[in-house]
Amino acid sequence: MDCDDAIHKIYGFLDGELTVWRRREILRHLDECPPCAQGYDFEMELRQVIAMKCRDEVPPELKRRIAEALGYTSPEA
Amino acid sequence: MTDGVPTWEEIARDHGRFLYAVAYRLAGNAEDAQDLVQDALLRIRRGLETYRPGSLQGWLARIVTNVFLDDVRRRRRRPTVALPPDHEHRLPPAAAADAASEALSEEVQRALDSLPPDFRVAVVLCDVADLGYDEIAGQLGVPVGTVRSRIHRGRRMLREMLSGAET
Repeated sequence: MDCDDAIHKIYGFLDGELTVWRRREILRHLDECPPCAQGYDFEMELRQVIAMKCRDEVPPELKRRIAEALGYTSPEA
Repeated sequence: MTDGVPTWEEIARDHGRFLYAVAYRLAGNAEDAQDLVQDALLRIRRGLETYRPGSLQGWLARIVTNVFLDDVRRRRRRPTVALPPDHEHRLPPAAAADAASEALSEEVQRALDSLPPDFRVAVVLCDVADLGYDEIAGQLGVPVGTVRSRIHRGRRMLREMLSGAET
């Protein structure tokens, strides 16, 4: 696998969309090619930052709005 | 919960955080994200009888995404209204996150905001909702090749924007 090929497939790799065999090929290339490995690290970090909001707390205002909606509609309440 | 179908109350209680995470990444700010979640919860209540046990998060992500896309289309038809200057009291304090990662996160959010909505939706469903390409294609009703192309092009645009901003 060359650099063009690796870059082309890196997103599929990150997103878990490649076969085990393809993953192994890319990993081998990343081991041997520092510039591609750096590019990979950047993409990996970016993906984590985008996902990071998942760990953020729901704002109290939204919690209040949800609780209000629940209170109005819950038949058992 | 009966037969794997959660009640609306369970969804509102247990998945509000997930809905908010997806909504925030799509909307780009806390206020719009809260509105998206509230609208999505209303649609979820109406649509719950059509839900078939499967990927609950995929289904929830699709609904909040549809609310977002409807909103984008509506905004295109009417002039945008600027936020009032005193809206900061509605912003959630980022107590847990340290300043550096929060700043980085805001930079990434700004880059995400500048992606075309279709691209942003694909990247967010992949990264935040953690859906596979075929699942995203199913939820959006587009071919998997389209999803792949939107995610890859969206990521490339993000990389260009963010690496340009760094140097």
